Amino acid sequence: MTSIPIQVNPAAILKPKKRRTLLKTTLIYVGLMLFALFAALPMVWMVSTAIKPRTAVFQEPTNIIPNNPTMDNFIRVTQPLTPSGRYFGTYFLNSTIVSVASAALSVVVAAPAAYAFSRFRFPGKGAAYFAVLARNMFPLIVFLIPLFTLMTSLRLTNTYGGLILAYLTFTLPLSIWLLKGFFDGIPPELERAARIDGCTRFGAFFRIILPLTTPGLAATAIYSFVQAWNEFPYALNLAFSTNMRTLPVGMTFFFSENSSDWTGLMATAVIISVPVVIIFMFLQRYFVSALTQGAVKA
Amino acid sequence: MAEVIIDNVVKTYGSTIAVNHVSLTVNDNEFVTLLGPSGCGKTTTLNMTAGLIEITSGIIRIGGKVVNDLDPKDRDIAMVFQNYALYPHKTVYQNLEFPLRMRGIDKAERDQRVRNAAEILNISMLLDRKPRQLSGGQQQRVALGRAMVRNPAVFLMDEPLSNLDAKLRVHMRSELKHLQLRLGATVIYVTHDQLEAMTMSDKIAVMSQGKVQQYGTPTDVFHHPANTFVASFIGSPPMNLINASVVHENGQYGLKNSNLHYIPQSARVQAVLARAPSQDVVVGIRHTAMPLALNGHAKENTIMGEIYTVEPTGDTTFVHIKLGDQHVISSTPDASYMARTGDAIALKLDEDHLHIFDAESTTSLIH
Amino acid sequence: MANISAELASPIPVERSPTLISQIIKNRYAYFYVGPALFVMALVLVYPLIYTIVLSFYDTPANRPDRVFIGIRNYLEVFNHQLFWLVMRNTITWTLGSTVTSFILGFAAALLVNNRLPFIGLFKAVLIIPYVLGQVTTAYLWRWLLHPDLGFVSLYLQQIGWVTEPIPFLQDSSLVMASLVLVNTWKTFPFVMIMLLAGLQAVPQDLYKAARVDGANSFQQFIEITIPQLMPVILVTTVLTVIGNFNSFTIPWVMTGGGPANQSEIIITWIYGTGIRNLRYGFASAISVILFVILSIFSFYYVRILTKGTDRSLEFQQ
Repeated sequence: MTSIPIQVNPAAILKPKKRRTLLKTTLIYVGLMLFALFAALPMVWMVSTAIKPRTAVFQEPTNIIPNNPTMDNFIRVTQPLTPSGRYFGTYFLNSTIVSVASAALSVVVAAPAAYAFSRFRFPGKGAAYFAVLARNMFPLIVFLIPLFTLMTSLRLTNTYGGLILAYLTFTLPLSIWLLKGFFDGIPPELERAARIDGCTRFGAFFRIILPLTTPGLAATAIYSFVQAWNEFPYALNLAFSTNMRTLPVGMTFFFSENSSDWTGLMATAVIISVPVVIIFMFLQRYFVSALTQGAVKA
Repeated sequence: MAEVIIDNVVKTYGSTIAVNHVSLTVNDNEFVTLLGPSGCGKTTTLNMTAGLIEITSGIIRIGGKVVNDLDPKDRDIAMVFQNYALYPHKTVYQNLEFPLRMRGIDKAERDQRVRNAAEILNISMLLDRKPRQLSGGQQQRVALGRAMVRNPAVFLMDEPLSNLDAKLRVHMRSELKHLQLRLGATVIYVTHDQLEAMTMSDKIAVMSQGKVQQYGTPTDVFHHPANTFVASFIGSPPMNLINASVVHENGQYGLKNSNLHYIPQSARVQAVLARAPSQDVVVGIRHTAMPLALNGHAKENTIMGEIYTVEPTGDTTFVHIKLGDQHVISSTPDASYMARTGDAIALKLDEDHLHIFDAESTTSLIH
Repeated sequence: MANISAELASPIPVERSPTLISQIIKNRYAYFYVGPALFVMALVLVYPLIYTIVLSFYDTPANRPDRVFIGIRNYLEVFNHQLFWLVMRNTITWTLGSTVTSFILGFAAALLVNNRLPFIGLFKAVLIIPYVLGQVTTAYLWRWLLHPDLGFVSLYLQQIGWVTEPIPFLQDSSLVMASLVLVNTWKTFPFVMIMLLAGLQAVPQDLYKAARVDGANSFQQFIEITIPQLMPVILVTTVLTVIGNFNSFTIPWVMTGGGPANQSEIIITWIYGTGIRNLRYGFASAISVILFVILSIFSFYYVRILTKGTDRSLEFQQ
């Protein structure tokens, strides 16, 4: 046994393969950090601006962490007694009502239809399903003029009902497509068993399949909710009176009336984003499954 | 319990014929198996009996009543599925209770029947679990239990054992048969596994291409196959089938092909060959009736082949043999038997167990 | 079941081609399921579609309630419009630019996130958030970030000395499309990442084991296994991204309104500007119909790709 001390570069002790893994891991994290910076920095900046005093925009324009953070902007844009915040509560309420109702209604109407598309054969099925899928192809804007005329003649402009109905144009086809994917994933033996056990056809759907699809129904409802919450052109043109505006529309009016109030605008942006980001954080798994199902299976 | 009569039933999908004039009578308390390869129409026949698939034409009677237009729930049947089809969001108890609840049976009786079935199937301790927490064998029992609780007129089973591992399958086979006898149940059972069919059934309907090829007891289909399909489907390894021509020389009938020249000695076989409609026949013989003619045995009236492979299985050793361009399997009880590929080998034929089929119609010429 | 006795001995009954009416009656229960959905779809989709096509043949003066049939004059005006080719060029730049960049970034992100390492879940969540954010929010956030005098990007680049002058990202006609594509990429790449990640995770691991045994290195595995296995997902994702970008309205509209000098005008904002803002319904409808035709070509492939999955109704019929 020799006892000569040897100087060793710690990296050299690692076997070549291990060294390569370490290098690879480091590169992966570097890449991830760059992506995270790209994705998160704008949002960090949004929050940072929202908690800056109005004058700090000029005094410390590139400070990410403000010298004197404040909640003033949030109070100003939500406070019913200030000119810039007086409608905030109304807008928030409108957005909530319209989004929740659109999500709920589209799932209720879409679920039986999606089930029929998944399980039954009937004349017209191909054409109807084609129409459902093709709808996702067409931009909302091209339907805006006829929808506006339709809503005007039905006296549905500036009503919740009208906007919810308009939102069904995109939430419904999407929900049908998503739910059909979830139903396709359930083995048909379960309905067969249920029908032999004494259920009617509808009973098998209602008692066995629907409860089993709860995660899918939730994912679909969330997806519809987020779409409705963020929608802009329909809300702008079909619910234009001041007390019917939704949050995104309210934001554009806020901007045109207070175009230099960047801190107030970013505070509004934070408030609008919080619900969807929270929902997403809690239900990320369902959200992702809604987005990727079908596409990946096929 | 009740009898089931399937009368001239046909199912077509567009221009494809899935089930072609199938007629079967399943007596009360009988265990009948529909056996055949996938796509032979056995599951379609079962699903039509259940009412899950509409019949194109024909009649199905259960317990004397025509059920053609009845919903599955009104046919007084129960069904066990290959993947068990247990309701994943319900506990074992709720799964067992479901068919009773759907029929409006009161709570006390439901509870009593569920517990009774659980007792019989030995799953009482699993009642609070969800299906995904159970092993395959346990799920299988729950599926059986869900069928049992209602005392249906007929049990329909669609490959219920094929998702189990081999060992458990053997066990559940005997348990299922025991249960059927104990309940006195009428069972229609679908499988592609001839061993399951042989071991459990009172009668087997061998199906192929939408038709019933033969309907009889296990012994019947094993010893008297009606055609080459049944012969090749029943038994493991399957019956050897050798193409040959009938020749007539010196007042005797013989079997001949490029590699074979054999004059049967028995009067029975001679008589069969004499009435063959054409000279092209298929000779059928099981490995047990075609043993190896090893050293010391008389070599006359044997057929010659060469060794392909030797497969020891412990008690019996199977020997694959090439007869010219045809392939047959023989066997020997000698567990230590060894041979090299290419070695010449002689085979004896037990003419009492020789089958002759017409090559064109494939039907047996032995009556 | 009327002819039971007649069919007893007959060969297979000839497939009587059932009439449409009898088929509908036989499957009437199915229409209870799809009925409500189809009613809503007809009201809010089929009617508007027909209305748009009809309207595209009319002149609709903004100041009068009546309308005048003018045949294909709206269409002629669209094709001869001074903005037509500019709008087409911008639309292609916007659609293809956003799709290519978000695909590259999304694919890279998916490959990075598809590793089993600590904190991957956190990174994944952070990378997805831009996709969840509203479009109006995104538009204003980036207007603020790209503000020439007070915006973070312009000021920061001056601070580190890359540029000496404020950069007019959205005011300069040569920068505006690139800036919009950047914003849209930021918003869209997470979608590509989610889809491709799901695709990557669906590739059977045995294939990689087999390839390794066969002597393929990581790069060869990527080319020989990952890409071909991922192809269907890549196809779907690309088609969805192209359509999404082609149809997107809010980000370009809120950020530039088509300006400066129509340099960021795309088909959708053009329809909105002429139809809703200038109240030229007939003219805007004509552009919409042209758009329908372009999209119908897309939609043929789109629907074919999406319906390639399983159809359970075939094993569950009656």
